[in-house]
Amino acid sequence: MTRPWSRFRPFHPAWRCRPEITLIGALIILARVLFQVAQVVVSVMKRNSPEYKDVTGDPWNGRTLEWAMSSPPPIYNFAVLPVVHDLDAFAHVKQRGRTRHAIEDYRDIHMPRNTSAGLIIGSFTLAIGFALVWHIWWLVIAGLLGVVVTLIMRSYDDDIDYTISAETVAGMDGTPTPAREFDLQEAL
Amino acid sequence: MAHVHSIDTGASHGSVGSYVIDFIFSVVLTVAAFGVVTQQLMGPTESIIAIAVLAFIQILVHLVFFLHMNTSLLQRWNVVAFGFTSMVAVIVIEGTLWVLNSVGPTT
Amino acid sequence: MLQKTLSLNLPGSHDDHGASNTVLGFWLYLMTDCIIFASLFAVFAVTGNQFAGGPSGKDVFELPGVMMETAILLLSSITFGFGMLAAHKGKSTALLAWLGVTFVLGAVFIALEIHELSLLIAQGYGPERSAFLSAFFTLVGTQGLHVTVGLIWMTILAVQVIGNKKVTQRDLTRLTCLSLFWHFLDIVWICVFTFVYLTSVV
Repeated sequence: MTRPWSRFRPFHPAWRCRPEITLIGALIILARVLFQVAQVVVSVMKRNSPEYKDVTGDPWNGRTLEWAMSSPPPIYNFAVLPVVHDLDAFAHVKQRGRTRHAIEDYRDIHMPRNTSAGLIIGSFTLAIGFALVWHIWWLVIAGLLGVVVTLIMRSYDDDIDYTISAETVAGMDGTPTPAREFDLQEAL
Repeated sequence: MAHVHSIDTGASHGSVGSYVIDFIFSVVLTVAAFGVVTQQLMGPTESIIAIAVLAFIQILVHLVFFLHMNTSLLQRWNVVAFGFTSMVAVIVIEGTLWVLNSVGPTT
Repeated sequence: MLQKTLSLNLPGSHDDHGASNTVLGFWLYLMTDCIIFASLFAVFAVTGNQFAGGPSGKDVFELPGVMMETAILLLSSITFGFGMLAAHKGKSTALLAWLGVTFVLGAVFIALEIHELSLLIAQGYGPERSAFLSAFFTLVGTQGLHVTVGLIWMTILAVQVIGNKKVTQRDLTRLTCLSLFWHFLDIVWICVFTFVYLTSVV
């Protein structure tokens, strides 16, 4: 709706209802924004009250598997891999009352180590892209060399994974996640 | 947790026989395709159809004998992925041809 | 303070198949590569008849050279296959021999292709001459680049096998990925020589 519209509107029957409808829509959006701000404010103000503190990772009695994890989740995600038979798997599990693991259910978990190789290769690729656009040929070649060398160096890296033993997993299951995942990685 | 650790990569591998069969097939199909064109055995449209069919057959031969694609459980996801990719490739190529052949002076 | 955990009915399979996961992952990447080639073919399909007064395929393509390149690539596929068979049996010397042969064949293929493309450029029929030539150079050039990357990869793998003095599980997984790559490139070349070279000469 352009500016001259407001001067002609009373005389044009085609535009009769639409601005009013749009206004109602805009008010609804405004209400949404206000509620969202209120939610953040209330959550921050009441963050120490008991009913707001949840340690189970499942504050709303969730029905699906993502609520089976604590928040933040442990480094290995699921202590025991769930086998899913139907929708709303978590709800069914809670219904059947089988929410604890037997000790023999735990297995060793195979975990990858962190690596910066991907980030480095990505940075070189960024340089290549930029250089190709602006025809900076030396940078293209340097970037390509960087990618190839990083890949080759990565391929010679033998220490790329580690295993968390079943006993450790059983011990960790049910305890709060360590604040820094690097503590766990370096310990293992 | 003990499990048998054989040198198994999850992709099946063939035998000398399968590679040799594939090689012979491919040579025959390639020579046929080149022959159709250089000897001008048919008219232009028929030639193009013929070499397209020959290429398609040769690709299938490569997939089955070199890349060991079949419907066994081990290969199933590979086949699914390949099927999806073929569909996307056909859409890309056919779609491009269609769109750019419908281009007129104002569209 | 126990978190809610799930009851278990574990069939016993989780990360036993790390290697096959890697191969499947590489296959999925190869499928995306396939789509890249599909779009390059699409470009060639729609610009293949726009010569801008320059040469057409008939004028510049020399089929004997193409036939040679096809034969070489096909042969390299089968020699790589034999190398893989040796690798699965753990025979690292045979593997290295077959890899060497494959490398030589691949290098000859690249040399022939570079020769052909540089000849065209020298005659003034480079990728900037017409839409047809742009599409041609991009398509064939991309295929050639892929083969070159495969050759570099092959070299590094061979060095690693020599260094380990035997074929480790990790090397075998990598060789399998490379074999997928190499056969895939042969398949792309089939499409190239059929739909680029042969259709232009018909």
